[in-house]
Amino acid sequence: MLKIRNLTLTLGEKKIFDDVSLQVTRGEIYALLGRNGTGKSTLAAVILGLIKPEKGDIYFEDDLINDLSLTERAKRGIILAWQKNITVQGLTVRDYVRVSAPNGISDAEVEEHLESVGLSCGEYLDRVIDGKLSGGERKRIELASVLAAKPKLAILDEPDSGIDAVSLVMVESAIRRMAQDGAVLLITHTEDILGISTRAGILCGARIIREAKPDAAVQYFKNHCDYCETVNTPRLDEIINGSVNP
Amino acid sequence: MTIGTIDEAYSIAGGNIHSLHSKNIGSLVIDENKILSANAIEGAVIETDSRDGELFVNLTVKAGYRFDDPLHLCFGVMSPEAAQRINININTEENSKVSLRAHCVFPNAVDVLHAMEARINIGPNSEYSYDETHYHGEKGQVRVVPNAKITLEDGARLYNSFSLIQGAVGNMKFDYDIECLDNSVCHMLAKVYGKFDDDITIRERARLKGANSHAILEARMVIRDNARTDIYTEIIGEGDGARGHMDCTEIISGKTAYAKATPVVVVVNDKAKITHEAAIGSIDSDQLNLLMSRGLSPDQATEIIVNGLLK
Repeated sequence: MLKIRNLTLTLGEKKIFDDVSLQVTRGEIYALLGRNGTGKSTLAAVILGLIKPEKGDIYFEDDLINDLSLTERAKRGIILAWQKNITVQGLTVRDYVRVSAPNGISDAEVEEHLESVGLSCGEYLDRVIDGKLSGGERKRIELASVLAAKPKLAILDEPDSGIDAVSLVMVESAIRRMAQDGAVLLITHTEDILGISTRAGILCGARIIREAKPDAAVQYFKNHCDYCETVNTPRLDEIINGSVNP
Repeated sequence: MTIGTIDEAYSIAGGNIHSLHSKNIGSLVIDENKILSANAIEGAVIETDSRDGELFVNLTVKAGYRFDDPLHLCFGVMSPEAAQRINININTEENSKVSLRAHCVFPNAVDVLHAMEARINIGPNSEYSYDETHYHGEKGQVRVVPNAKITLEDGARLYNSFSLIQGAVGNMKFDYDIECLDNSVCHMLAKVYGKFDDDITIRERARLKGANSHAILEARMVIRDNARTDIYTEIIGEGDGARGHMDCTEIISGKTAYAKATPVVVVVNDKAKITHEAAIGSIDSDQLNLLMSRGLSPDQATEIIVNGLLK
């Protein structure tokens, strides 16, 4: 479904990706594991078209999508659950989930998506998304909006951060459902959520240094990546806003 | 397209026509300098007079009367060219509560002046809410010049919302002076969408004279094309425990629009505290990317962000 071929990206003097290739197939939950600052979120931004790499190709459903815009990629079914909490003033939970649905959505479906990530509609449907919501609540709203988008490829950037143990079970269940209808690229730097993945790749030192079953990947990560070099990727918004130039 | 009746314009502006014609609902309808109807209800006295090209309105809410439903006002000018001058006195007596919902409609304006001189006294422990929505035609040849002097007596509460987001603004000069006595609370909110050659000046000054008086002066603006805004807000902290905050958020689009915000903080009592924040900038790229990552075009995403700010 997603093929990344020979991706190379340098930001300033830092090599973020050095000939990175990766493939995510239909039905798969591919976990991208790596320490903070290794470029996991930057890879998501490249897949979305927010950052143009120097070299490399991205194929989605066998089409080369290098030149497609963010909007066009989303319309094809590549949907990101953002790591960062972004607030659009006045936007309610209902508005956001509705906006995410490409072909319209009924109130009942909005409610279903919210309930599926453990958010009660009575409490959340008409709440404005702002700083009064906790990080965990924002994460779950983000996931509900991704569900509403009916993604073919869901890219989930640290979907478990700030989520309590009870809610995590529901979040994992929602992620499995996304994979049934397409594929999931799961970005994480913790082991907690790796158990639901079908395969994992370790991003370290600007390369995918190993791909393996989750258990084996975690073991390898523990044994080899404690001191592996991070590239200290600049913050994503700095890259996108152009304060750090490729 | 010419809009023929004030009812039609009122409806386009979001008003409920039923509220203007029901005998159970207090209302006042003005076209140019003529009173079309005035419906007072028990506890709310409306007196009107028209002379020398000027309209005089006195509204008194009697002591102890507390209205849960709003009184409806419609200030309209249906002619393409006209000058509307309104001189209004509002007095809410002790322990009263009233909400005024005003629609100002100038749908056919080519050269229209809407000038208002208001003196508003909000009595002790009374609550006064004023929600004003403007609807101008697309040509925007309207000069809007409201001046108000407002006094909040002890324990009084004021919530004032001004919204001009439909049609072109034209030329607006908004000038409000507010004096807050002990334990009074004032919240002013202005929302304006400036476009074409609109020229928008807002001047609000709140003097927190009383102990524990509070004021929030808030402006949310979107401007594009050749529009310009000049927002001047000032809060003076005089009373013990006075608290004030100014918040101006503006989205600016295009290379020829102009936005200026000047928050002025004056504190003359070490037990008072006044704060401010102002942000003027283009559409936030994070917000754009968030919405575009859901498949929206840049224009669709921008519309949602702008509507959210002016909601």
